[in-house]
Amino acid sequence: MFLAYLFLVGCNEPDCIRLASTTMGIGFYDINTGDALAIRVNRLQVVGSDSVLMENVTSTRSVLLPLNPSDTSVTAVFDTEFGIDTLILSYNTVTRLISEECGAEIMIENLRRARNDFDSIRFVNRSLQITLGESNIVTENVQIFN
Amino acid sequence: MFRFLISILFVQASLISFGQQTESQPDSATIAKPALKDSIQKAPSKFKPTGLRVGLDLVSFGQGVQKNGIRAFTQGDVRQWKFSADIDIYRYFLNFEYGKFERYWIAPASNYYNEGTFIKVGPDINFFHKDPKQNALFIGLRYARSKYQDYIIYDYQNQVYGDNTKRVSNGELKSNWFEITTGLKVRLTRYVWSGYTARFKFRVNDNYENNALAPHWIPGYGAATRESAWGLEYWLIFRVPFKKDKIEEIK
Repeated sequence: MFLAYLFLVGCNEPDCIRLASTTMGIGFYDINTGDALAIRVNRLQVVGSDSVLMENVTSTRSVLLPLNPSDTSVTAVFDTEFGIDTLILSYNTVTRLISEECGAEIMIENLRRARNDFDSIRFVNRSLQITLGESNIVTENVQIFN
Repeated sequence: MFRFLISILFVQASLISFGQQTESQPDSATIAKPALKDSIQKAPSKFKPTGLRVGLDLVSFGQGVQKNGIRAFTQGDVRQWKFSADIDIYRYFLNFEYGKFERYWIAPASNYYNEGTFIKVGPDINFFHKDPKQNALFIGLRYARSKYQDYIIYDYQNQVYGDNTKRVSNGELKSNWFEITTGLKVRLTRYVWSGYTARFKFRVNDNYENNALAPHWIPGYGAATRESAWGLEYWLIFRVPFKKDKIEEIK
């Protein structure tokens, strides 16, 4: 009976550590050297939202692109010093319950290209994640080469 | 894992052997008469089952009551029932277990529901098969299968796309796994027994790699994210004898 009691009360719940993210990291790179490249972004917008993610930024090496958990693709329009380019990416969403204390977590996985106007793109991480630290950093998922 | 199982076995063995010391002397003396009588009559086959035992697990029943009180019987957010049946064939038990599971997890900004059934079949080896009271100390194996469905409803906040509520479900999922078991079955009266089964569950398959919802729970197994799990049942057992027990004959 004592063993039975231990099993009744002894269940451990996992810690509330979340590594999943719904924001994608994009980095810009030089197509000739492969080095990180700072570019001017006139405007960055995603189709389906009125929000402008970035406007008149003179120099940036990366941008963060939020994905919609209720959708399976994202269309981003980049107006940069290299012209107007569209990037369409598809993805899968996986939802899981962490625990009764922590709630649910949405994981975005299997990031893949549907359409690309840039010279070249490369996937470095097909799952959206954050790196835990003093300030949680969104992991780079896609490298865009100009 | 195995050290834990073996240590449980040693504890059980010492308990049972201690419990039998006072009874062994009169038993051996009085068994002589029926044994002589039996030798004149046709010797019974040792592989003939002597009875059917059916059990109800009080641990899973207790978990529901602990969480929901008397509501566990009707509308609790945890409902779990486990039943077992076994017949003895010489020193072996052939076991069949069935369970039904239903639970709501109410979490921050999300509700998860899981419901399903499971079966487990497999043999046990009884190390005390010569005990006239038919108490049992056993180890065994099980093959287990679970069929279940689940869904989650959750709210999320997104500064770009707006706040929303989403429902994701799995229609029908199937999982299977193996178990190593050990335990005791102790006679209380001729028809009523109690006992426990401790089990180590392993080699669970996951057939939900591309599903939009990753199951949180597998009925009969436990947390779906774990590669192995422990379980314990405390059984209230009722036995239907197929023939008169040795211990009854002695009286």
